Amino acid sequence: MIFVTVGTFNFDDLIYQIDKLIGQGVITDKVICQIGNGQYQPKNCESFAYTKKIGSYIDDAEMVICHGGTGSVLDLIKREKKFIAVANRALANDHQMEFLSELSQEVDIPWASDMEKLCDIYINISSYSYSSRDGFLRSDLVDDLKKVLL
Amino acid sequence: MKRKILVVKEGGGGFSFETKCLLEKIEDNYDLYFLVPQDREKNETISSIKEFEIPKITSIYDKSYIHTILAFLKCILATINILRKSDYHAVICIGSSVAVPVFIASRFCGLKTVFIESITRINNISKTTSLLLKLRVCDRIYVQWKPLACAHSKLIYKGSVL
Repeated sequence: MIFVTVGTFNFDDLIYQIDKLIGQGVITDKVICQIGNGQYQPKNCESFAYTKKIGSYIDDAEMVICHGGTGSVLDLIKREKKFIAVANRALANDHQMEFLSELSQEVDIPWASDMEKLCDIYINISSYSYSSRDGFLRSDLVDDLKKVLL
Repeated sequence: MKRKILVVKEGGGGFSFETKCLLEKIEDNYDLYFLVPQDREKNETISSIKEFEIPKITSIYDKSYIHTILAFLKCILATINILRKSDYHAVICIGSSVAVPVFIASRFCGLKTVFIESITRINNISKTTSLLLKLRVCDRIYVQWKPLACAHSKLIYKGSVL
């Protein structure tokens, strides 16, 4: 199963593109979409607006396609889940684009800045390596914080 | 006996994920209490005796400048009211602008204050961090990207909360 999540707001362009790729036969796996407050209802897969059990959908999914929100992306990195992040460029200051661009210099994450690239990345997803995640997750922040809180 | 630490806990979004990551790493070391910013229009349930409601200072429903100032002052007073009822040691906040009134109140009550800039801030510090630096109400401000530490001599990079 592929789980698609757009987070708190909406990302109709992504849901439309996923629906289109299913219709075209590019995506053949079962797909479930969390569409937030989006207006576009996919015709070729299941969808819902929000859930409090998003973690169990992620656990059940073989792959996640998500917006470029920090919560979603960092959670997927921590879970060591296979995923593709797509920048929702309509949001304030194009911050998802900036975040994904910078993050990808630290961690090898498959991500797309537009819908055309999503199709290419999806087709080639099996060649991505996630080996650089450990270095990104290494941190002394909490140890330093504990010294401050003495 | 574990020190009592207050943590600002937002209801959703990226800040809440980062806060959750931090809590997983410190929950065994401290007696944690939570300040929960509440929206006037969208109250969430306070679910524990360890959670205290404070007014939210920015709202997606309300862009009024006057309301923001009033909420800011209310937040300072509400926080002072909470802090004086127990012997809290420090307040921690990740990302949220509510840190400004909360830390002003915390300074007034003599508590340590730690702000962690959100991991979404990569190249530029937030207005909140900028204001906290000007007001000098923080004992420590962490950034989660190394280049951002160059933005000000008081910013500390020690990795991320992940």
